[in-house]
Amino acid sequence: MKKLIILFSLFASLNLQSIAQTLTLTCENYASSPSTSNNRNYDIANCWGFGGVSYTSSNKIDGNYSTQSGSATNLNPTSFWLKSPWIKPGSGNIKLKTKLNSGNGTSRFLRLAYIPYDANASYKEGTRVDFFTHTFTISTSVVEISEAIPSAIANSGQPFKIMALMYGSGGNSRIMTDSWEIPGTYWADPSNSCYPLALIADADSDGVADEDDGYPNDATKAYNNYFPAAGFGTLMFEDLWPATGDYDFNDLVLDYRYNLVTNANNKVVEMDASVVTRAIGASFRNGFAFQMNGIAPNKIVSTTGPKYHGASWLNNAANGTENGQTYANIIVFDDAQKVLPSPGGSGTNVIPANGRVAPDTTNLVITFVTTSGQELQVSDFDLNPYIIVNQIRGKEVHLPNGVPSTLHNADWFGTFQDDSKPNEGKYYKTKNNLPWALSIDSSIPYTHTTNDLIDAYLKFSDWAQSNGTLYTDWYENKPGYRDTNKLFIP
Amino acid sequence: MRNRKIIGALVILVMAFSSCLKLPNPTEEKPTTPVKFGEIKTDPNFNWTTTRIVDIEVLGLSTRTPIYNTFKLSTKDKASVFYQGKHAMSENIALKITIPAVLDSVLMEFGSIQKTYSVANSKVTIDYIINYPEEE
Repeated sequence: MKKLIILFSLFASLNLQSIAQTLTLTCENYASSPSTSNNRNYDIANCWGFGGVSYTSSNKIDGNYSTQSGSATNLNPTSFWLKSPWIKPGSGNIKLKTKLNSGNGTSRFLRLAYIPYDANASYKEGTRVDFFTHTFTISTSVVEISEAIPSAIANSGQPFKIMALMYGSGGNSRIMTDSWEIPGTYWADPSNSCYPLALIADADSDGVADEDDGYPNDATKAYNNYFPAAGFGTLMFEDLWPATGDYDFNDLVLDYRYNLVTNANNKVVEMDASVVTRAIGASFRNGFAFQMNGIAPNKIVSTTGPKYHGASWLNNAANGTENGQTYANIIVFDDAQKVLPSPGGSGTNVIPANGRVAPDTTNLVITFVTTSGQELQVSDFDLNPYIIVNQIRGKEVHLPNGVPSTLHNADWFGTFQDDSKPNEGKYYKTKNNLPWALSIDSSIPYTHTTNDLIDAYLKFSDWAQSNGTLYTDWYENKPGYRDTNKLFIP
Repeated sequence: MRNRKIIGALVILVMAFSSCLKLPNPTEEKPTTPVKFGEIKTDPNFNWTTTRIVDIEVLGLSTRTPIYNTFKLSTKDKASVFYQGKHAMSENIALKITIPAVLDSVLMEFGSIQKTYSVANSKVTIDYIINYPEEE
């Protein structure tokens, strides 16, 4: 008996809730909506429709604003109109307040109608059905209209729009409305052209439509977030740090692209990274790694794909991150010379006469914790790539101002031409702020060995000396931008 | 004697043309084009990157029922997507996106809603409201 009462109470409560749903139009801003001087645009964003009807604070009926038609001097009922969003009508009465803004005119009317859903019609709107007409007395008195939802649509479970049509003849008075209440359940999707809410095709039921889902059959993954967003980027290093070199920026040249795979809750579950080793213009046996600034090593579950050749300094934890680090560091490879061996002569892919070796791609897959409260978001990622110079683990070369890892030996700072000042956040720059590494978010050719970068990229120095304001596209292949004789172009 | 005259004339000529030469003005800054990378001079804050970070603030829109869809930021031609994720339309979102420094605008998509925003500044505020002019 007790169970029956609980069940009945639940049913009654649910039923009451559905009855209680009412769509309103007050012409006022919602408290949490973005600030906008035009309240009507806010209601349009919520799928209300207006034809020749504006919002006004003059002669308002309730609150600060009311709707107002143009001068209703045309007996065509569709002269001025207002449409609700799609709703599933409940039962009860449609209520609104209306008046004329001035006491002139021969006749004025406000008609109520409903519009059924028609999948084949324009805007999905079927043929309008009128069900009530109010004839105004020509005065400015407020009239409260209360009209029952037609039984044909009440509680039908089908989507409809409620429409008000305003028209008349003579004079120039306008028809105003306010404080609309329509019993029913809001059934429009502002993010889908205001069409009725519809079930989306979602094979893995993760709430992301298949057409947007990069992994439509895997509920643990939803989106790909690539960097660079299109194609590969290029990293170029000088490896004589802390001394300056010949600025050909080809001691190690890599292309890279990574993808932060997120789930339907926008949490990063996996990082897929491709590192393409293109050239080695040095004799040093450099390693390549990256630090995930600010991300603790225990946020990583596993790492697959690095290429190791037995470097004595390699010391990784089971999850593939390097031991002894504050932040997660992934050693991508420990010796570039083993990854991209020279075909003979000095360097690899930097002297055309020496022949060419096919670039080598290292593909990494890194998975992240998915424990609630421990997950990472895309904005948490700040990747900080670096080389490990000639098998000396404590000797890292980062991009300018790249923070070194815990295992870097800070004693190198301030020696030779390096002017790093950790207490000022200045790293891997000379006194004149010159770098030892460059990152370009596009794959670009690098120089032949010993060719100064600015002799190959003719707008680079203008870009740099303007502090990045001129020739932001210096790396693009445009007329006058490159001296291709200085570039290694296979 | 003749040689003396010639030399004298040459001296006069040289002096005359020398007076036309513009003397260097120490106060006049002439931009120098470096001939070597090592001669480049930059501001200490220059970061040498071809990208920049833009802070994105999305002002959610109150909706009568929860509306979820894919929020996406991309180039206008949609070829490069900088961020995508599932969000409620009512959600205020704070994001940082890294875009090529050459880019001057991004396209925001939330389902059928599309708006283009200038990224000339490092902060962009986005909303879902389309501005329709009021009718008379």
